[in-house]
Amino acid sequence: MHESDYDLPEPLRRELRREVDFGPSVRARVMRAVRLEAAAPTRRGWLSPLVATALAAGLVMGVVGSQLAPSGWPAGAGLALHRDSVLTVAIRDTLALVRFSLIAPRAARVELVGDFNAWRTGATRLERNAQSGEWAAQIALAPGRHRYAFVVDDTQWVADPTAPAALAPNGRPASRVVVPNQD
Amino acid sequence: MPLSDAALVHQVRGGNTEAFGLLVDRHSARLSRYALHLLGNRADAEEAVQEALVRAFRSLARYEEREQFGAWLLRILVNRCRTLASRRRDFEPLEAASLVWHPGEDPVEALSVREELGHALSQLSPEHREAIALRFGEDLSFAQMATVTGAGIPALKMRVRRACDRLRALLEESRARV
Repeated sequence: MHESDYDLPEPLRRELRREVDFGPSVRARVMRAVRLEAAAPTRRGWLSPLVATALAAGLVMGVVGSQLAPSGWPAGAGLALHRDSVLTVAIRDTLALVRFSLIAPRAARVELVGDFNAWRTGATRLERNAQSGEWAAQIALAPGRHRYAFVVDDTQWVADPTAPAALAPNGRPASRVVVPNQD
Repeated sequence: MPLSDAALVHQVRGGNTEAFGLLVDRHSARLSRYALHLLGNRADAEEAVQEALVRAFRSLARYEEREQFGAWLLRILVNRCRTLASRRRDFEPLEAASLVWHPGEDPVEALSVREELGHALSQLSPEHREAIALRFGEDLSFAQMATVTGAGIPALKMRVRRACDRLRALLEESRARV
C-alpha cells in the first residue's frame, strides 16, 4: 500500500483537526456532577489511606534538605517541606512561618483548620491568587507536629493530598506538617 | 508553571474536587472535537463528553500514571461514543461560534468544507468514522490508536485505508451532484 492510501486532502485534515469549544455549559454540568459524587458518603475515601500516605511521603522525601529548605536548616532533619502545599519560609525566635496552599480556582473561599486554631472555621482564611487559582496563607507555628486540613466554600473538607496523612479530631482525613526544633 | 496532569490527579484523589475542573479545562476541547466527529451533532457530543468526564472522575482511583492522562480520557470517550453512536441522530452542522478560528482564515469556505465533511462522515460506518477521527483529528499513530481502540495495528491500517477510500468517494459523489 502507498502512503497516500492513508491520507486525506489538507482542507479535510484541517477541518478534522479544528478545535471545538462548547462553552462553559459542559464544564458546569461535569463539576456539578463530580461535586455531588464527592459529597456522597459512599464515594469518600476512594483512595486508600495507605496509598495517600505513600504518595505524599514520596513527594516530601524528594525535597527534604533540598533548595527549598531555609538556609542553615539541617538537611534531612525530618522537616516536612513541600514544593506546592506546605513550605516553611522563615524562622522567628522559636516559631516557624509555614506556608499552606491549595489549588482551587473555582472556590469562593478556602480556610485552613488545624491543631493550631482548634479546628475552627473562620479563624484562618487563605488568600487567592486570581491568576494561578492558588489559595495560600502563612502561619507561625511552634516546633512539633501539626495536623491540618482545608475547608472549601464552607462545605468541602479537603486533606492536603501532597502531605503526610493524618486524622482530624472529627475523624476526617487530614494532613500533617512537622516543624523541627531549631537546635 | 502549571501543574502537570499527574499532580492535579493527586489533588483530586486527595479530596480536592475543584482540581478536576482544571483537568476538564485542559482536555475538553480535544474530547469535544472527537465526539463531534463521531456523533455528528452537538447535543450528543456534549452528552458523550460530559458522561466520559464524570466516568473518569469515578474511575480516577484506577488510573495508572504510566499512561498519559489525555489518552486515558480519550479511551473512555471512545467507549462512550461507541454506545451513543447506536442511537445517533443525523448530522447537524455546528454553529461557527463553537469552532476555533485562526487569523486569516475564510470561515465561509471552511464552513462549507466542514459541512461537506460532516455529511460524508455521517455516512461512514462508526468503525470507519472512529478511524478517521483518531488518525486525522487527534493525529494518533497507529500504535496509539491500538491502545485507545483495542484493535491490532494491521487491522487499523486497513481500516484507515478503507475509511479514506470511502470518504473520498462520498465527497466526489457529493460534488458531482452539485
